[in-house]
Amino acid sequence: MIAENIMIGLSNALQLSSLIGVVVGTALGLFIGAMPGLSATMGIALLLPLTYGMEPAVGISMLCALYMGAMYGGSISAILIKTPGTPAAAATVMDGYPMAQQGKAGKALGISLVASLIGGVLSSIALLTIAPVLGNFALEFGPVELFAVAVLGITIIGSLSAGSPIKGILSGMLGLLLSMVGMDPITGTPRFTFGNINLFSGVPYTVALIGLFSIPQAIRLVEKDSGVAKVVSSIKDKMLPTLEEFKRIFPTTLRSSLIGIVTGIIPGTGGDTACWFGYNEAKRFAKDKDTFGKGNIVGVAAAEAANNAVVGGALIPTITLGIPGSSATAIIMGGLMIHGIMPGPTLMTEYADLTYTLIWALMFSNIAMFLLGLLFTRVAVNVTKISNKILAPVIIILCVIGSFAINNSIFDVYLMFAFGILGYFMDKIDMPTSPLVVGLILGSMLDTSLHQSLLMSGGSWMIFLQNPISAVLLVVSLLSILQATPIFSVIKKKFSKKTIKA
Amino acid sequence: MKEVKKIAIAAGLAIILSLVFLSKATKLPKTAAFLPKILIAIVILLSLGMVYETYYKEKTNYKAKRRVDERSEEDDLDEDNIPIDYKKACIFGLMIALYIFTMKPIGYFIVTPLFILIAYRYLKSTNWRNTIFISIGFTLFVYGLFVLFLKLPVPMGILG
Repeated sequence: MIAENIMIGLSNALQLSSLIGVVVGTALGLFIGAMPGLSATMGIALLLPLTYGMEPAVGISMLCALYMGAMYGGSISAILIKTPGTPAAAATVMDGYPMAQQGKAGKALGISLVASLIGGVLSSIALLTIAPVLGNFALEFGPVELFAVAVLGITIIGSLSAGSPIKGILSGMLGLLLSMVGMDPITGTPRFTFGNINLFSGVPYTVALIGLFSIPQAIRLVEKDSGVAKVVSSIKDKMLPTLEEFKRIFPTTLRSSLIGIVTGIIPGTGGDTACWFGYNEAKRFAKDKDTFGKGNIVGVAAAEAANNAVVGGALIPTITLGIPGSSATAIIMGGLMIHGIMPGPTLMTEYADLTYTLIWALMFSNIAMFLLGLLFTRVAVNVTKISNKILAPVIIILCVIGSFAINNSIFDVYLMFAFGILGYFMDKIDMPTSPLVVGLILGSMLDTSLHQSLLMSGGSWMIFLQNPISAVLLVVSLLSILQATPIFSVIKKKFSKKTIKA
Repeated sequence: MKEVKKIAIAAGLAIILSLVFLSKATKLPKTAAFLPKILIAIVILLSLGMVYETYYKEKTNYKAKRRVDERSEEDDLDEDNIPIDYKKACIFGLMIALYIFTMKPIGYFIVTPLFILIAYRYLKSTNWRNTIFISIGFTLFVYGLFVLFLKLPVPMGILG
């Protein structure tokens, strides 16, 4: 059955419309990623409303391709102007920019492209092999396990988000609280709607995430524009690495790809974490440690393989469990939901054709990224020169029209703006917005599964500990919270002291 | 202590939101109010925890932070070191609000080019010629993309 679905997915992904979606998505990702200040997440959020008018498979493939393309695109500005196009390319600056200063900008971009291709392909293979197995396993989940999955999703993304874990978890809880707005799924009573009929069906979270990820970004572009013209290094050398260079980067690329896949699977950690993780490990294993930071090709490959490998990894929990592995995959989940498809275990059965099309599309987006990267990187250099002050109003227009188009509702636009302002102020106090989005998504699953579980147990909470899967997941949730407390910091300090002594 | 004040205001707002939700939750059937009440309690606790954490961190890291700040002043000017222009952010925010609230009564085709025109002139984004070209070109591009290509609606206002 799985093999049959894989073949159906392949034939769907090879349809002309899907291939066009992949190529367009990758190209958009490449250019958006190359623009400093525009993140992959924001790019996907802005593209999301456009996919509403498309076939689900084409639209979702386009979103995934944009995600993949933006991961490579981010390295263009990281290498050429010392400003990562996306947070996931932050570590690429370390060796990429020194290479550009040495007149090897083309080589740095070529290494980045090859490493991104390998990372992306390996993560697509991981997605194609792990997702069906995990999906089959998740099919056995009842309300008790689903409750634990939702709790795990919130706690882990909250506690592992950058900054303070308390702020991360609070953000997730606020998301859950806001997800309670609308009709109660058990009694059918309107909850926290304040008499507004537009809120009866709940907070439309696709609209919320367009606001959360795009409005703050647009305002940031304006408030921090220095007005100083960007100095862009030119590409004068060849891009593709020689066989010798390829052999040199290959082991690191493989290691970083693995790091990226695992980092992607863990909710709350994305390309920004993976690129540093991959870079630091490459440096740790290297014999020529002192050349890192001075233009070592291995450093560029390590960071770029890791951030592209995150894409497939992050889609694994999104597709199989309905828990987004990163904020970008949370928006892709939104893309599925506006087409009436609920991400989670049923995605591998009821919507298997769509799911496998998406997985194959991700695989093809790597090839598209490589070819487009070779052809258009020199063109993409020009977009790094676009002023932030030109981009900001354009982003606003896309947000406004996009959020209106989803439900043909001006109320959604107001709501989008309100979430945008909320996101801006959350950013000012270093509170991550991704847990809030995940809370909004998982709220109804948590609510329904909690009530169903308690009905099954006659009101006893012990049901969550008597079920082995649920018990394990809840223990992991507890550990993820505990690791954020001072107790864990004390243990970590003691452990690191011992390691230094050793 | 500036950071503590900022966090205290944010925590206060989260608590106020929770209390508003709590006042509504008390009027709901027991089943419908069950999970929201738990979440409200957690939000209030975490908000207080966030204030305490910030206060504790500021108190213990004050000296270390000062050392880091002094060092960072010597670093090159990069994205993080560019001062935030709050006045500009505020005015741009107001422009967005005005754009959104006039969209439905007036319509996309009038407010969108006007928004680009005013925003670009205020932000000194580019010269007059480019401003006019982008404001008309981008308005038509978005209309073409959403309405003609994807068959999605835009608010037409007085032109509808």
